[in-house]
Amino acid sequence: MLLICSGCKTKNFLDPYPFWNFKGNTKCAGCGKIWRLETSNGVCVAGPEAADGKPDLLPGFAEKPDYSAISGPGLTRSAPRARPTSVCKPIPIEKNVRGKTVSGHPLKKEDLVGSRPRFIQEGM
Amino acid sequence: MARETAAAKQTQSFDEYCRETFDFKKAFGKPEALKGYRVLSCTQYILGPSCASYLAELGAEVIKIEAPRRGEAMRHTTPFNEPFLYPLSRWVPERGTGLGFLGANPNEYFTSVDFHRKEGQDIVKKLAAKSDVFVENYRPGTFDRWGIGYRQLKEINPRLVYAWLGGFGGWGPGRVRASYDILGQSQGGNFGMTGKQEFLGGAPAKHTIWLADYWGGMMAAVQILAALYWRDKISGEGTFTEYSQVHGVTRQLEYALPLYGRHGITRERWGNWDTQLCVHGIIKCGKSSYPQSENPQEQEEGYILISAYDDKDFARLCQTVGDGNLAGKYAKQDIRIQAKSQMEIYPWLEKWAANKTKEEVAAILDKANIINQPVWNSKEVANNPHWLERGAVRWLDDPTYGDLLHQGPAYMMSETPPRLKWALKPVGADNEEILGKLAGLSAEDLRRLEEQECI
Repeated sequence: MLLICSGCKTKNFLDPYPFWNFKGNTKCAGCGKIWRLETSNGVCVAGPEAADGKPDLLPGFAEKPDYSAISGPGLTRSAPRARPTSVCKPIPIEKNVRGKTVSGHPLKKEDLVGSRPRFIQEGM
Repeated sequence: MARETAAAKQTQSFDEYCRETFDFKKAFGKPEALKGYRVLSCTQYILGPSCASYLAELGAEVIKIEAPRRGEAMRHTTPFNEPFLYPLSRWVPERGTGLGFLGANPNEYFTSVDFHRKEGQDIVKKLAAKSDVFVENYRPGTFDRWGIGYRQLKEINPRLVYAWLGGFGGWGPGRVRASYDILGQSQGGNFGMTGKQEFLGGAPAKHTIWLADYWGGMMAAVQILAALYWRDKISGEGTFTEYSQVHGVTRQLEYALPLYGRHGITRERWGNWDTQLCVHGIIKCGKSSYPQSENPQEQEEGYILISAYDDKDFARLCQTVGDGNLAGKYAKQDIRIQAKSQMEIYPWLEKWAANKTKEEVAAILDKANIINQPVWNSKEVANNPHWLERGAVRWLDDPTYGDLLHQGPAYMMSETPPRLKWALKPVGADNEEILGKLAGLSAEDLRRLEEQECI
């Protein structure tokens, strides 16, 4: 379920499991605007409408109109984690466990040839 | 020449013959069983995707359709936010796809279409008109509501095999809920009989891996193959199939339901031991195989499966471990399987293994010819030569993402072997080729639809 904020156009992803049957407030991760909505069996049955107060549940993830991600304390809910070694943020790598090249770090548009990383297409 | 080759094969050992016949490195020189069949996969998470990918491993042209730009949810799920493969798509290169996406999407072509929009639905219809199979696992009736369900697509393509997979089925009082593997296994009856008894400090246990999803995908693939056989050999007509993940779990409960039907007995859980056989369970060994490791999973003590339920095997186990009293007391299987007996036998074995690693226990039991198997972790499986030689685990030179360790198909076929071509592709990587070729979209159409985020 998507909540696209009419104010800042941020796409707030209301992940279905916690928002499956929900009645209350959530908060736009982009501008902080409070939205009230009600869902039933994964379908929005009331709202979203602008509201006051505090959020009951934050979006799981959000992105700006330019697709850049928004996340962090107070903005989105953190993903569940149980592993002691879990750091819950990307661990960029360039080589895998046997020392060979893998595309494991964020790229820019100029790093691509079509949809493929340039360093894979053309070699390191 | 052919006769000489055939004669030479007759003189090979069975091991040599199978090694040559099933060599996965030669798969690309052989035909593909499902080549020529086209499958549309409008799927998400694992249940639906795995179904389509099993067909792709066998050579079907599987076209995955995802939400524009960010793709389906599994790309962003499990393991959360850590090991990504970049780019997610050409539009969002700074983000990646999570490794949980890999196992259920190999060999597929990746397109993106917004199912909600009329123009997107029209594209789906054009693709369906030229396809043999349509797989989707949205909530029941969603595609029907969007005008791209079986009833509508059948009018366009009467030969279409339409496979729907989901939690609880497309009809019935329990249908309108969201389902995940964990929910399916819980409702289906599996978790209730898995895990330790409460009086032994236990509770029902979930599986770490998503068995109901991967098993369900395979069952739906069997449905599809049967429907294709029916269409191509008998009727010429398509089929609408339905697979319920929950009912699939219940199908695996073996004797639990007949037992209840006959005696009203609820099948119990018995943890790492077995209610019918003893010794036939997993014990803890006292020492870690990797005491210097920084990984908590490797620091913990090892575990090993021991199977010595036959009276003679149990006697030999007692002799090996060194306790003649227990050998006499529990000489017969019908006495050993009693709960109190097991509660004495397994702790006794663990006491013996307390100063050993699982490998040390295995070496002792091997010598005594007692069936055993250390419980291996993913590191041990990944590096085992048996897996690597047979291609069950293999290093894949993926054309987009580089050097990946990947599971291969678990089965082999001499004439039309399954194969692994690539692990996955970014969202929409094949939009131009597939949507241009099959949906008749021009370069201008593609550019406009891309700008509008319809593809």
